[in-house]
Amino acid sequence: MEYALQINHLCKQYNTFCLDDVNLSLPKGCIMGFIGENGAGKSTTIKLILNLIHKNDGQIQVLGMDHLTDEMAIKQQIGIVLDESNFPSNLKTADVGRIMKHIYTNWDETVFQSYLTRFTLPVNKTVQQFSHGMKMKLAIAVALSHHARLLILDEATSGLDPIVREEILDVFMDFIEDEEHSIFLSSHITSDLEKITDYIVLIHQGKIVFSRPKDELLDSYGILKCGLTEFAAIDPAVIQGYRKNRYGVEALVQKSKLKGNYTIDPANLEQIMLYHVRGEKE
Amino acid sequence: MKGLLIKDLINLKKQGIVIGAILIFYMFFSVINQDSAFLITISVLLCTMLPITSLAFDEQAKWDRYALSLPISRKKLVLSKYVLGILLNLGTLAVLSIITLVLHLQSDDPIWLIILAAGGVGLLILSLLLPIMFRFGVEKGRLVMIAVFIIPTILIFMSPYLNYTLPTEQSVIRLLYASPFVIAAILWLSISLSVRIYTKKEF
Repeated sequence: MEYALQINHLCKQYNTFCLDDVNLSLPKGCIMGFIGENGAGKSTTIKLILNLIHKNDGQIQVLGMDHLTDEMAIKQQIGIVLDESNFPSNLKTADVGRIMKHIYTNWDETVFQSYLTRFTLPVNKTVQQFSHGMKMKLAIAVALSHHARLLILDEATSGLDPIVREEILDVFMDFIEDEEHSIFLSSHITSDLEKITDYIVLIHQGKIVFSRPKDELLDSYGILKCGLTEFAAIDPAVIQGYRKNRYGVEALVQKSKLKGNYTIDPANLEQIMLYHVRGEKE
Repeated sequence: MKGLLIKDLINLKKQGIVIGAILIFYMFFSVINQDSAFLITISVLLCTMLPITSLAFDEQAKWDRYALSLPISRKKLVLSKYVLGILLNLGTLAVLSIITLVLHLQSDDPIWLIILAAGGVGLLILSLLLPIMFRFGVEKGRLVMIAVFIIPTILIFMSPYLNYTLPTEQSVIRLLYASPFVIAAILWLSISLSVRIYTKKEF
């Protein structure tokens, strides 16, 4: 299988935080969601891919190329959206196009203009006067206007209202229609990821907890609600995490391994993440 | 590189207009006073500071980490600030030369020498400041910059008390001839230092 992004044994040491042996593979043509709480290591991983910070150990391959030796070739072919807009405040949209034309060899001004129209971005305002949503849309327009093969998005939809988020997710869906295209996006808005991703990677305290196809992940887990005595009889190996409340216990369980007659509700991504990160475990 | 320069120039447009207005004001001043040394010094200094202003804008927008996510190498980003500084410096010298010719500006000292000396000093200041700014960022860099300027100022004020003879006119002239090479060497040193500092930086 061809991979758009492959990370092996990636490590980065800080004084108080450490990214420890991160491994993940994003197959070409797929969308991978990278989830985890704030400070779990999502942005650190993305910064390492982009060589904005220096790794201590490990390999990163982007579009089949080494991220250090082929850094510029890779960056010509990827689109980047970071968690906030970084355009200097005095620029207008036309200026952004004029600048990017000289930075990306494949810059396509017609595509850029079409995104500006699609996103209804104002032509005569400076970035300074843009709302947060408009700034993010501008960044996305830039990321999509040089025929990139891989999009790397760091919290691109965070802080945006549901309508803008929906609009942006639609754009991503259009992008991924081409089988050569892939998307790697980090987010803590799990509902967005549930809609569009093929793979989910959960990172917690600098370590990868799991990396699985989304449908398989959602299928394998369920939410069990039962009384305390009933709960005590269940094999602990089946329980991923649980919480006691006034009425009994709510637990995330591995559906296929749970024997017996229980009522199990489907688990969503948010619950799966929460119980992996915070739920009590025996 | 060209993209970065265009970005800086668009970003600095407002500052350019302000500097232009200041220059016109001093131009009248120097015609009335029949002395343009002040006009020349101030215009070269103001333009030399522009790359620093552009760095401050970049810092504000957190532009660097975005720019480095695009196909722009760290070396190119550093170089672009030097190229911007040199272009602005040469541009200012060209404008000053035209003004001098058109208005027949006068000064106590040979005017062309003042223009060239001001340009040289501008480049020296740029070479001194940019590595500091790349190392400390503009915010902290400003403090370091003040410290760097205070030392020579104190030395100049102290000079009457220090037992120190002024160089002869001949050696000053010799120094002037050598200065283009000296400035080029210092610029080169400054660029390699900045590239080294910036390559190690984490964003």
